Amino acid sequence: MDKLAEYLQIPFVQHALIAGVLIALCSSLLGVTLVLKRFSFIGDGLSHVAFGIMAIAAVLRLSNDMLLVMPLTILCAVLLLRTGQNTKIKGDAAIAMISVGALAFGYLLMNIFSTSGNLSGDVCSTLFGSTSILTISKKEVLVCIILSIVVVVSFILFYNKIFAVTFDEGFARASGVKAGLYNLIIAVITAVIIVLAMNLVGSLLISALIIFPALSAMRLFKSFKSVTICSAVLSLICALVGILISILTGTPVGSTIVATDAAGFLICWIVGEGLGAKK
Amino acid sequence: MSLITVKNLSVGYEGKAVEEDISFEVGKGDYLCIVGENGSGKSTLMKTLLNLVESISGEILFGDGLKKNEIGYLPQQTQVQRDFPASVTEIVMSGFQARCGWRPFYTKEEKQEALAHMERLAILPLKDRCYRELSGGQQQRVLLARALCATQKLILLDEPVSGLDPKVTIEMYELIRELNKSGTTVIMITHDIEAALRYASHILHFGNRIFFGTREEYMESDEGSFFLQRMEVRKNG
Amino acid sequence: MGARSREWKSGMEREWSPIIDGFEGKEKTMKKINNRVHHGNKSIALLCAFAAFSLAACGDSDGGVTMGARTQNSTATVNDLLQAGLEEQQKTSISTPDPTSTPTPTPAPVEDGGWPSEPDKPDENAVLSTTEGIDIDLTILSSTMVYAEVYDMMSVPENYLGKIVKMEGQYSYMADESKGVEYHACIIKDATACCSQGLEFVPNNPEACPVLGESVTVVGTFDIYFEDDYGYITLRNAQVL
Repeated sequence: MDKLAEYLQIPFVQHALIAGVLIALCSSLLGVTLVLKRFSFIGDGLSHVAFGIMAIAAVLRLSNDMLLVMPLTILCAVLLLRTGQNTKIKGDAAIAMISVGALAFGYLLMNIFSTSGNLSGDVCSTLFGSTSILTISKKEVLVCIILSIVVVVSFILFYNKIFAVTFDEGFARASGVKAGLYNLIIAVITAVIIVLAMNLVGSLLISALIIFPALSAMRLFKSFKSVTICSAVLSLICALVGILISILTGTPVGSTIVATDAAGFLICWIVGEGLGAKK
Repeated sequence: MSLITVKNLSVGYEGKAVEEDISFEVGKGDYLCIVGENGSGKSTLMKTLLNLVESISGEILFGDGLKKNEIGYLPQQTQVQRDFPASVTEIVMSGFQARCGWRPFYTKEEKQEALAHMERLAILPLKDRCYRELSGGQQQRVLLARALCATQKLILLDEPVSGLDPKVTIEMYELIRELNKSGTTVIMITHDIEAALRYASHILHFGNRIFFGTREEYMESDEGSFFLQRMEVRKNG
Repeated sequence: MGARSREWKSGMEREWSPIIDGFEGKEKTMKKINNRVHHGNKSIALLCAFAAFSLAACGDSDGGVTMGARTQNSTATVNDLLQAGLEEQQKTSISTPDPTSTPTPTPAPVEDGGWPSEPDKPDENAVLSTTEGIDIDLTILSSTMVYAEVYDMMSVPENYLGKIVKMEGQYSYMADESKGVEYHACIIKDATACCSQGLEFVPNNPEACPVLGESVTVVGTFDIYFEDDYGYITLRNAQVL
């Protein structure tokens, strides 16, 4: 405990906790919608795409890869959502194709063009996050805070519309809601979250960050609002606990957070079953 | 001037017409039933009216001050909704979205109105319940309340009684009749011609040819009389 | 102000990039070069050459500079072009070591495979081997924290100036014969074992250094120095324990 208190004094630990908690919060907010819209795979697909784009950024030796990765990921998110809305099987296949393709091309690009000798290190830290969250700079923490605020505020402002579009897009459209626009907003926010979350858990584990809290909360609660709030709280706690555990025991940050999320799901599932049995 | 005038409309998907040359009018306070075989284009017509599907040719005119976003819609149940965590109130309130525009939150008046609709449809005691735990009839009422929140001028119902047991079916039909009597124009898809004949003021029949007219006209038409004969046979036999 | 670190050989097959690996790390490296390190009017060519140099850290890369390794046959092949460019522009070329000779330039009797002998304490610089007086003890931190801490040292070295640091890691060594300088370092890996960084130290008792790749524990005073316009961090007055 003393050790923990000591660690918490260190600036970069504080930065990591702030950024980690914010990223977890953001990703869980949209998780409920993505799961319910059957878009869970979009998170996965997008993270692979982001990996590919980061590889391009690395090959081009961009000093600020955010500038390339963010807009391109947003573009891909929009395209993926578009295809996802068309005939179902085609959309699924398209997403699988794009995401796996991006992953393969990303790795290929890095392998061929990257002058870095430590290719496995590069790939590993991008895929699994490594300790990136503990090594983010003050500037990046600031970017993270600003983007998180943007995400949270737009989520709150669009909350009712997101609900309407998620619950019944047909009805929303029919009654004159610009469903296409809100789907677009959802896609953009998802992309922003994924780029942010790559810092925390790496691109392979992002979907876990998005899906687990939502699924856990759905075991326990039955209204959209309570599920959203619960998943946000769960995600926050899991990220916090995950980071602290990894700091104390020396486990990799990303996978520790996801493991904590998985444990949270298990607990929620058991509690949910227990409550269900009582009825 | 009628609420909706449809002239020589062809409906279908991706340029392929499912039904061609549809013409009919819906006046204020009418109760139009669209009947016909499965796959005859009833749902497609409704989606075209709702602007969810583009028409292939022909025109749809809205009159009498009806705006495009003043149509309430009770869709057929989709898969997503079945395990959706949502309370009854949340779903009913979402009917207000259309009139919200860019306004992010609902007003107090809208909340009151939603409660009033729920009371009218006898689902007020369920307001905090989870939608997916309700019975089929209750779920349909919730969706009807949502449609009413969207508008009270015109509601479109797509097979509102499918999957409901006979008692609940009759309750649902009575409820819709009540709504119609209090001034809401109703367009309903059904393959239950018997019910259509009992409740509708007008009937649009998709079959070998398209029939449109009042209930009385329908009964005298070939399609209607064919059906009536069958009903007679069933009653007597 | 950020610091740079050399490319250390850990004695394993691969060489580990000293600055954070992973291309995020790389971008950070680049940023550091651009923002933090003053390099006057040096040409872009130098920057590019440096980038290649800096990024060619590990794997079986042949883009890097040949480095001396005390106990290892140098298997590093040299990318001639790059090497030539580097030699010209950076003058950091390092000779290939003779695997048979004892590479320690200051020959001192190494006892028992180089494990700590009685250190001849250099007067006032004597650093305690106990935890007293140590500001930052990396040996008690978890591997995740150690890595992050060292990274932080590299990115904001000014916060650490004058601090007494104790660390433990794989020993690494390289020599620059053109300058007659030798460098000692301690390699620290992160929890996923895919990233690592090297922290230099200037030992008071070099004879106590273990063989390359063995574990080493060092206590020293944190400092920054400049070489070829780049900032490096190191532990001065270091005591190998």
